[in-house]
Amino acid sequence: NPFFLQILHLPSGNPKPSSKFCVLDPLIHPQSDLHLHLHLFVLIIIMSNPTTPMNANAPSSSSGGAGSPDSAPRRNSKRPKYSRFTQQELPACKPILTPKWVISAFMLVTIVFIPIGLASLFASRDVVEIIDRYDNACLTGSKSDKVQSIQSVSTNKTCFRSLTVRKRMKQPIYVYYQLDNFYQNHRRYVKSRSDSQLRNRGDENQTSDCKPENDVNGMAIVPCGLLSEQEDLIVWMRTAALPTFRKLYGKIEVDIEAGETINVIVGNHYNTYSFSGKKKLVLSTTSWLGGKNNFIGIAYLAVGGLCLLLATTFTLIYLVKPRHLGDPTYLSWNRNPGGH
Amino acid sequence: MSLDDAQIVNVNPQLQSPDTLQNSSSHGGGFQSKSWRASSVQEVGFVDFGSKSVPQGSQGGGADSEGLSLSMSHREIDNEDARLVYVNDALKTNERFEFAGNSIRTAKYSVLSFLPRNLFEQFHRVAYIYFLLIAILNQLPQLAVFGRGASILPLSIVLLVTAVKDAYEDWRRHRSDRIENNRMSSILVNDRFQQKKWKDIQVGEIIRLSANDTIPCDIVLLSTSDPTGVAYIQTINLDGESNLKTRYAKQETLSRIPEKDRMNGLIKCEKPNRNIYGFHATMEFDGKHLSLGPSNIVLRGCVLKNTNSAVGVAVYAGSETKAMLNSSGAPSKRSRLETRMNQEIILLSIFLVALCTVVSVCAGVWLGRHRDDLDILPFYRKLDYSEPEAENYNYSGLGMEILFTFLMSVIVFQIMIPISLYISMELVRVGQAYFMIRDDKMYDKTSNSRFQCRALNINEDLGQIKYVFSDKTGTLTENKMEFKYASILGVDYSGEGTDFDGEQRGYCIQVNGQVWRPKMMVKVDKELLQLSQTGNNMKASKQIYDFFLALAACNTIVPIVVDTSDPAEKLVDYQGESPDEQALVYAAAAYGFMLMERTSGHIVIDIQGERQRFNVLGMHEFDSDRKRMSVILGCPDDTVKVIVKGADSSMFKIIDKSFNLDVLRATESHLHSYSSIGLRTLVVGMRELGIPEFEQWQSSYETASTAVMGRVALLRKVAINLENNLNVVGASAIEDRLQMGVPEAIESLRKAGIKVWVLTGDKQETAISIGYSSRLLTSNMSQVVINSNSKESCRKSLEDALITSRKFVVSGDPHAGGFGALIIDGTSLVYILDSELEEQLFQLANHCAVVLCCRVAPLQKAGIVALIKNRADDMTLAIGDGANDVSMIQMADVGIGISGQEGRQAVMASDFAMGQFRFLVPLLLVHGHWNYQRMAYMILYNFYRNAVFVLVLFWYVLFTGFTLTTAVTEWSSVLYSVLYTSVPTIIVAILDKDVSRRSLLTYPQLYGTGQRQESYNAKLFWLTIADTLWQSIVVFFVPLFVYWKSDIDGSSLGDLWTLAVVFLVNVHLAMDVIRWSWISHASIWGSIVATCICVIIIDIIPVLPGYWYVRSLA
Repeated sequence: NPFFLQILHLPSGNPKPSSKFCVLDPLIHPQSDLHLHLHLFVLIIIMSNPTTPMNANAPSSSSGGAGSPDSAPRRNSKRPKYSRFTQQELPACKPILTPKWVISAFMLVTIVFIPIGLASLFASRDVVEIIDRYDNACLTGSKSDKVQSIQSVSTNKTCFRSLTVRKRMKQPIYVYYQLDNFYQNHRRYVKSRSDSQLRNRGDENQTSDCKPENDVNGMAIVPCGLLSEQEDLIVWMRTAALPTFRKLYGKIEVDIEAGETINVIVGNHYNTYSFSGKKKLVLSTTSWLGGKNNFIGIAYLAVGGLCLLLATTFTLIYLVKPRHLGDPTYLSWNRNPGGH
Repeated sequence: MSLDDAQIVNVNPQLQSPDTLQNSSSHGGGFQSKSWRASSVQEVGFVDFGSKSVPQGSQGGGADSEGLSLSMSHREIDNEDARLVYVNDALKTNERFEFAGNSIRTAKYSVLSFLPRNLFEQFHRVAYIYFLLIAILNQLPQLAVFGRGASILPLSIVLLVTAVKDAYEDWRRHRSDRIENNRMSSILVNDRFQQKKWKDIQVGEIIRLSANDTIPCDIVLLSTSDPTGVAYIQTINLDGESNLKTRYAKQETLSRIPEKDRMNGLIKCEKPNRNIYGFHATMEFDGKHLSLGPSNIVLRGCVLKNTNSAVGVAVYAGSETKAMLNSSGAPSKRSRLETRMNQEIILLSIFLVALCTVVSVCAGVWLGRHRDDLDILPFYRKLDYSEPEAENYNYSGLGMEILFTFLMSVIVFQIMIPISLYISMELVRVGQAYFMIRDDKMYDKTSNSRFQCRALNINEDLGQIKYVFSDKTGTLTENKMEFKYASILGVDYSGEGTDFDGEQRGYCIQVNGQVWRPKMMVKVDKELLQLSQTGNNMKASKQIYDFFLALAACNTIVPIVVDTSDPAEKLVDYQGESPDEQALVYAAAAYGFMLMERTSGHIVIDIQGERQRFNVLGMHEFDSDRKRMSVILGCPDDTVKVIVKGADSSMFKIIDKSFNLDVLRATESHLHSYSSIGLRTLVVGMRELGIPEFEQWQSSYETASTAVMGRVALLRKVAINLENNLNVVGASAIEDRLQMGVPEAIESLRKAGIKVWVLTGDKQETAISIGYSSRLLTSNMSQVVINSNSKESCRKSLEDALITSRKFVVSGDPHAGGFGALIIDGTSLVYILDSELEEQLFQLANHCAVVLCCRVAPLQKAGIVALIKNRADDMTLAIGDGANDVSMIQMADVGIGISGQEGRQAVMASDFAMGQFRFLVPLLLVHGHWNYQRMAYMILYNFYRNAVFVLVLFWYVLFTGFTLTTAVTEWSSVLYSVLYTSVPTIIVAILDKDVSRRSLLTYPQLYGTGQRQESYNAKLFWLTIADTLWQSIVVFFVPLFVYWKSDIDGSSLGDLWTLAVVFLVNVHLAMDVIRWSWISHASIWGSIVATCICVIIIDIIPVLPGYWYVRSLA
């Protein structure tokens, strides 16, 4: 359902207006400069929390099973009180899949799906996307060289990338960072957080869920756990569904003409080299459908095409070998007397 | 004394009969004691009610327990096995506290015991233990996949619902127990009768009952308001029979007045048992040794009728009464579909293990490949850096990690085994039973009875029946006997009966200015009527006189006078257990021999307007060995006659052959012609007893009937000695009409591919003629008859028949639906069953379209059912109405009891009970088909719906480094099978109809789908699994690819998957629904809406991860 997908696809998080030229690498090791942002994050989270936490309404059963409207007056006769319900004669609609219905249904699906598919494909084609993998560009050499240099404090982590825009990009342009092969949905990762700590300043020492990332020298880490990183915490805390994912970083609210160059300064702090992860910077415009994705269009076209094929086949069969509806000679014991 | 003053039921006090001595023990003639033999039915392992009620003298009952029953009555009571009851001395009786008090307790639980006991009972189900284990596993910190609440919720919901249901039922039982226990009765305390609560009654106490009182416990009668000691009771609460039964107090105790004469005595009786037709005891009273039988005891739950008062002593109380011992539930069976389903559930658990193995192996490989990176992987972090020395954190080595992964995946994928399915099936069966009970088409107006579901587990078996084994009498026929023809002195009186019109309103008599007439009119033969009215001058009319006298006297019928709207007219209602006897007495009345009064010592018969009194000097009850009964009458002319009536086979053995051979031959040929048109025949014989012979008989009769050891055998010996050299008086023919709609029903069942076998105790000619009239047999059918007297001849006839039938099958035309009919009798079956010939019989029977077994004993009926059940993979159904059908009803896969004339034992042993044979057609063809089809679909659908969900979880696990992260929230995965998708499947399985009732009845062949297991089989199962696989792939991967490389978070995508799966399985169900009523609409669409609401509610809760997603929407 495209409409539904759309809802889920709304930009999320609190993207802050960002400048055209400065995108910070958010993936700094949590322990590096923690205290700087500590205050801010706690504040944000308390604010974004309703002051009175809603009580969970336990989902109650929605409907009872088969009701039994019991006959109230019991006379001497035990004859069951007649009702259409007890005699299983409730008015009911019985759709029969006649050839006409089946063919029309398939045709209807074809007629609806193929245009949607085409529209989706065009929409997806119009989306301009610039993907820049910067982890390999910022550091060169063998894997161990890279790991060594990113772990070294003395290395300059600043990295300059310049992206050329091939096609005009209309605002808003969303800026994402993309990680490949990063299991943010790893069970240990997902569980390693303390919601109570984040919800309430008083509970800041409740970090048992975050072990082993729970404290430093006896002081609770806030936010604790594997999950907690620093910039744009909320965006990050909403763990990605898949090991290849994007996180929204910001939004550029000016159009960028074709041929223009975007210069990006990236702080390449985070070590993805050791687990063969990839870091990418993504700039993407949106269409009514969202980002660049040909899959939806192809899927619609495939289903639409299949239905067209089926509709045509059924029509042909129907024309070549029509069959009277409800013909008792087709009953198995009439077709094959004796042996069922 | 004037006979005009005689009351039929309440005998005038002056009417103290002079012959009390002779008949002090002849009260056993009450029908309740007739052949109440604990037959050896225990051998087939069913509840023994004793096989009572083989219609007296009927050919049908004749062969019933021949050679197969052991008479329990032979057993004498040892002191070891006896219960000693001191009459009127409850203290001494109960001094060892071994007897139960009279308070009853049907409730299972008390407030304290409820929780442990109810849980213990619930955990008898393997599935619950599985889920309990999983919940416990989940509590281990290493394996905590779900939170505490979510892991326990589904099981606790199930347990809670069942517990609430049980508690409610138990509360109702408590309430009814309380009411029952607090009823009042009049008890003798310190020589005065006092009101006492039922629960305080003790064994040994003396109880006084008034008319219409319900009997509080099992009581041995001591005296009644009737001077001869008769009490009439109604046993409708016990066995459903509404006619009055007679019970007797012993002569010795009769005259005592409990308040004045201190009654002292000792009753030595059997230990409590559940045989409601048997009682065996002796009583020491005033130094005399008396024997007590079933006619001396009245059971709890019965009602005293037509008797002003009765006094008795309690012998069994409370839980030890026969009524309470019999109040156990129906036997539990498991349906074939459920057995099949359990196999598939084993397959599903293999899938489950396979999925878990895949996950754990992958996880192992993953951990192995990243062995060196684990410390620093940002999302794994094996090492704990917070300590000065970095240590392993939460990492137990590769092997343990694999094991943990395996166990965690079992927890995550647990609903692969559908826990909700068992509860859904129970709910669906309740719904199906509701519709079957309420079906208008299965309500029997004549007996005012609805269809009854006694077993709740085998509804769907009704859709797969291949063999129907039917009793004849009372099942195919009405068991309402009507006197048809008589053959007297070799003359056949079979003229067409006259209707009563004009002044001819049947025979009636004048009593005290009132007109008494029999309750039922019988069509009479004009010639015979005339002859019977001419007195007993001529030889023919003398014989006719004897014949009707025999009919009126040789029975156990009790006449009851009923008021009518006209005060000047009264009706005589003949109450008795055997419908054959009733028919004969009504016939005698129609010909002017009207039985007016019966007490224990005499009967009064109005013979053509002249009241005559006959003393009943003795009576030898019917038993199935002798197959006859006899009565010894002292006639008004001071002669003593013995009258015998019984089955022709047994009667011709004891008839004086020297007497008039022509008459004998003519009678025989009449009998043959009667039975060949389906009538039930009886032969009546009679002779006069000389004084020496009478005295000899009398002394041996008295000795036998007061004997302590082997009384029944002794009495039988006395009877056999007496019953010989009889003159044949005549023969009667009684019609037992086919029930309404039987031929049509059999035709429908045959068309539906169901083989109908008739198993009857009747003789061959009767069985065959019923076979024709019920359209079981047709004239173009070849008949194979096997009547053999030895094993060898059985073998030969079977082999010959097999060869013929094989030839027929090869050459024959398949439209005939099989090779003719097999007719086999009980004697041959004795040689065939339980021998190597069984296999041949099975082969032969398989080729035949119809099988008729005649003269079969109850155990043979069960043997025949077992023959098919054990050899063929087909479902069997047995239907019958009498005690002799109990064994086959319990042997068959589905047992059906007809709630008819012959008591309730068949119903009590059955899984379903109904009023008429023809209800089989709607039951099997309509309800059976629906039940089967609905249940089969529901099981497959439940497999599908749970497996789709599990597979979606599984696919996701492949994208999380095999760590069993679930994108779907734990609450959604718990609620999925309990709430999101459960209601529509139950509703559809109760309400949907694949084919309408009309089509099912028009085309009985549609029943074949169930017989061929077309709605549930291995092929469908695998198809369902393949379908599941493909649907789960679509529903998982489409959102995955749509959001590939997007910034979607786990819980959003998880919610999307939840909604997608719920939408998918509900729409899948919707597409399979054939009839859409508003209920189906509401449940399916309602479920989808409810799911959306639940998902939103879950995401609103801030502690759950989806919260952020909902907030950003807001």
